[in-house]
Amino acid sequence: MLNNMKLKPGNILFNMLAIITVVAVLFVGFNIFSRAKGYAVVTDSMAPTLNRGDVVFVKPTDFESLNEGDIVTVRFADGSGFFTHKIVSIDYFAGAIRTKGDANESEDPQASMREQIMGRMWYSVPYLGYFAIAFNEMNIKTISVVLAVVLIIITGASVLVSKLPKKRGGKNE
Amino acid sequence: MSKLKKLTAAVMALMLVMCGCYFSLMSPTTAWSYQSQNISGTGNTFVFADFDVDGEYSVSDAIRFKGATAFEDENETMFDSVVEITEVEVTNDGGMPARVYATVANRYETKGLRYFYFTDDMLVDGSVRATMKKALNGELNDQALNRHNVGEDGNSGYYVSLNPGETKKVKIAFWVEYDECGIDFAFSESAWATIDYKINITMTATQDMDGALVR
Repeated sequence: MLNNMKLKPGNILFNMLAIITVVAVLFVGFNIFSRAKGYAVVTDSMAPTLNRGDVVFVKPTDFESLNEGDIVTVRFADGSGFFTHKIVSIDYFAGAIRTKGDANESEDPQASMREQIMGRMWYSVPYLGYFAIAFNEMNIKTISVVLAVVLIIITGASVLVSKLPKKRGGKNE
Repeated sequence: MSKLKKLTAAVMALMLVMCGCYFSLMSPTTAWSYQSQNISGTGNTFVFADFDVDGEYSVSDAIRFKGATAFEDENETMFDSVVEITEVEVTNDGGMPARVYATVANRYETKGLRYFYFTDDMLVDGSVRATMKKALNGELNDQALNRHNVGEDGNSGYYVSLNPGETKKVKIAFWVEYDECGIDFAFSESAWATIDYKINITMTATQDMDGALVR
């Protein structure tokens, strides 16, 4: 279908949308089918390995297969959130790990138990986390305004493209 | 635009929005941001600001007890007289809510040492024992005390919450169990016991909010 299209603004927009959609859907599908869960990095405690705005994709891992030096995402003991740090020591008998951020001078103050470990980092993607960071830092009013603006832009662009004058010999679709 | 193209564009836009939702709704992962400081003696202050990098200070302390006691014994009337209390004034000088934990390391593992972390607003009738009984839901035993101090998993014990700019006095009551500390100390008639308990108290301030740190 793409080959038959002429280089009109509407077609360029359509093709760009198609490419972005295919890439995004493949990426999301790949992670869902791989059972990888993404976490947006909010702070620089793991810099330079992980920076604010990165997304870490984490896969569930058996506690026994963890090693010192692995980067793991851990749920806070009270369930209030997550942190992603490097393992510095493991007590396999007690089922606990000690962690540290690369940018921190010393270890995290408390050990984490095996139940808290969400998984080992599989890979990370820079900048992708800014979607989640922005969404988390916005209140509902701001989110509504942003959504409204995006909808207006999309509708406006679509109307503009459909109203463009016909080219010589062509016809408006 | 042809009907097919319009339909395809709508489906693609919908899928793109769904992908956007997937990326936007990812859980944030933060640093375990905190600041800790070792505390010595009474009249201490622990002032912390926003948490980026922790700072640790190697300070230790020795506590000298007047006598031993038994906190599980309901008939023990001298408990409050022999308890030694370390008081720390904690100030949140940062811009976000924080929680402050206290951990105690018994450096030479001298037997019988116990502690209880609390604040003045928990006090019942001015008595540490009565306060403990209420905080431990009437269970005066080691398991309940450990649950209060460090939690069942060793890292979810009692903490004091402080809003930005807030200052609170937090206290740690220490005592020695006479069943464990040795007969010379337990029955000493001198004003001061002969055993010093070498300890490290570490106050740790951490973020007190869901995952993401909003600065």
